Amino acid sequence: MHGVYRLVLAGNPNSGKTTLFNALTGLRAQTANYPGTTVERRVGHFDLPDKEAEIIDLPGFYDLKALSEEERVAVDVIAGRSPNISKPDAAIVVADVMNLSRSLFLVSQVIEMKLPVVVALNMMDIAEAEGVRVDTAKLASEIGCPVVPIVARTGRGIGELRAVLQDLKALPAPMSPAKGLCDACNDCPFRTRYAWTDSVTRCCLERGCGIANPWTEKIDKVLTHPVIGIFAFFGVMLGVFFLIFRIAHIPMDLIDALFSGLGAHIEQHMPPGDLRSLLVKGVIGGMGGMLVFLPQICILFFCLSLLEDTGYLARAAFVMDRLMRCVGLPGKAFVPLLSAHACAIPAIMSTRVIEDKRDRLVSILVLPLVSCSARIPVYSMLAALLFAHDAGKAALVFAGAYALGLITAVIAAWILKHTILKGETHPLVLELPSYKLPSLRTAFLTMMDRAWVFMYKAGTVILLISIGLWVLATYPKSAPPAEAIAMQELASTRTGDAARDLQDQAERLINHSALENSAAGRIGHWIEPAIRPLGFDWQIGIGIISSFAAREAVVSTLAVVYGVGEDAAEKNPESLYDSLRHAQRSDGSKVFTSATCVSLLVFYVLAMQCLATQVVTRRETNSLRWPIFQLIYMTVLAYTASLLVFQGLRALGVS
Amino acid sequence: MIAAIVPEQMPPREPLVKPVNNREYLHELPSGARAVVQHIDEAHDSMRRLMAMGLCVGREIEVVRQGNPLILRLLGARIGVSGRLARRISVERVS
Repeated sequence: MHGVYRLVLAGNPNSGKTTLFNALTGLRAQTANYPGTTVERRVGHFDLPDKEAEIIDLPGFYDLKALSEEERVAVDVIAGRSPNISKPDAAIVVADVMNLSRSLFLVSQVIEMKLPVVVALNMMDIAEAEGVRVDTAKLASEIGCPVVPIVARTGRGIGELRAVLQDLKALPAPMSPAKGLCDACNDCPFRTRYAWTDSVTRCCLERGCGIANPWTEKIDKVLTHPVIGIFAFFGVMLGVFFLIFRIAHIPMDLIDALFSGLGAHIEQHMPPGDLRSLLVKGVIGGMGGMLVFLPQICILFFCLSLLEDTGYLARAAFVMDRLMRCVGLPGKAFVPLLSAHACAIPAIMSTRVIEDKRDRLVSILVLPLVSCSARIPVYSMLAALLFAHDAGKAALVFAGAYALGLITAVIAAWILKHTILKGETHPLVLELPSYKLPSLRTAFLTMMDRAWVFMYKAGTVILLISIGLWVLATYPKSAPPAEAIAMQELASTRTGDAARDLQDQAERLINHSALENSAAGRIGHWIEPAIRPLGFDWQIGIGIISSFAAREAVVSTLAVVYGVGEDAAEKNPESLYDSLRHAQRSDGSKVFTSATCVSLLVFYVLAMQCLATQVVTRRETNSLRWPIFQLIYMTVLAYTASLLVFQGLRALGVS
Repeated sequence: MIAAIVPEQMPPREPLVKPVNNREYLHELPSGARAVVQHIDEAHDSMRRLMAMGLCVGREIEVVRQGNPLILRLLGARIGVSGRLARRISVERVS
């Protein structure tokens, strides 16, 4: 048995490189970052007859000698200079037979890196359908290395590819460009190289009498139209979100039930005490709260992968480019901006497609302003508090909150691009590939990858914070209030419903008092002077603190804080909302006045309360500076906006 | 042993068809027009990318849809190109 055979996979974007990678490795692949960079690395394994192969999927690019980060990382990997990655044994370059000359541009550059190369000539099915004929043997001799025709989508030719890889040891036969080509000598290195690729293509490829597929042109007449295209894009995205919200609630309810069941089970079988509380509230509550968003994330990424595979997303970036440029962002930023409505974390990760580092940074900084799904329970609660019996107005509250988030994100991007992150956006250069049927397999694998990254990255952080907040809310302990003890004594003398009601009441009092005296409660009291101008009191303050684990935690925290009981919050939100509506301060005034509700809503729209997002920001920007900046500017923004809204409403006479 | 494929000196490229108009810039051409690239003003990163995709002096291209960004047919592929780049590419129309 030999050691591991290391391969790199290179090719143009849209050449079917990822499809080939998936066909070879299936689920045996992981995504990571190249150390010290924000470039994504996908590594997988597959078996050759007598050894195991490890293959790195390099990012797709057109020019190995380009100066952007991705190309430089790729060059380092191929040359063996990348830290922690040994020099590859061979390279597979995927060439699109329908774009042969352009593919050969990259092939020749990779060959010059002096390692064994095999060219996988992909899309042979399309070539055959359109009457394009290739003399593969001649091509191989012109290039100086083996050429294997494949159809990555169906798996045709992959067996031969493996056979060639098995025996691939020889460096490519010397090619003039490798020896004689001096980039600096000619006035245009591109022209020189293309002269070679054009001549090779001319002699090896023949366009027959087949008719090119007219569908792409026809569809594009509509989809790339400056006005219709934008409407079409919004239509498509609305469709995707509709799908998500329709379908996702089924698995979401299942997960919710599963974790509640697990919690109930533990409550029954463990003796009451801190450990049980930690397990049920901290661990299970935290994990359940995080996993419940998984269905939305999965469906979103499944749909996005399908859309990308068809080639539609390129059209979306194309039509949105003009609009986005007004704000200083590239068209490609729009899909992450929309994905952030499900969850900012995978959206931040998908900003990798934005080539310009500064544009990517601006996108990452403003994405959390967009209303994510975790805010929905909060919006529901506040909408119900504001407009108890008016579903129409409640819907307006939702729409308003979403609009506020998106508009603020766009304005924030504009401000950032004109102040601290000044600079022109890179002009658009984007291939619009022919439309094709998407691959369900690719979509599935992409979805699994993104889901796993979410669970792993966001999950661990959320879990830790849930536990941390549980500690804050449980310690230091205090004696139960006398009133509650009296109630419990009374309950022991009664039976049936009356006893149970008294017990529930007593428990609520005890929980409320425990929370008030805990560290979280004290912090709530401590920040109260700062948040009173926003219309909040110390109890809402505790709610806001608990949101740092997960935004929606505020609902159950408020339930405890106002003595309603968490069970009620879950089983009967209406009763919780009703109780909150009637909650009073010690001086008798209503807590959740309209002004307070609106102010709290604005606060939740704009505040940075998701530490998991911050962790991902740190990873994607490779520094601590930007997540801290994100936290500070969003907190200041939320505070100021809430303040203005509350005081403004008060001044207008709204109580 | 493969003979030298790229000659040391680049022969001047002959346009395949006769140009009918004087020089203009890419962003000025109507939809459907075909032209040969004459000159490319200085190479920004994105321009280099476009050149790596095949846009060289002497290349024949077609404007599939004019606008900002416009759609170009280059070596058979459809490429969206920002107006900012199109202004820097001077072309000569062909019939």
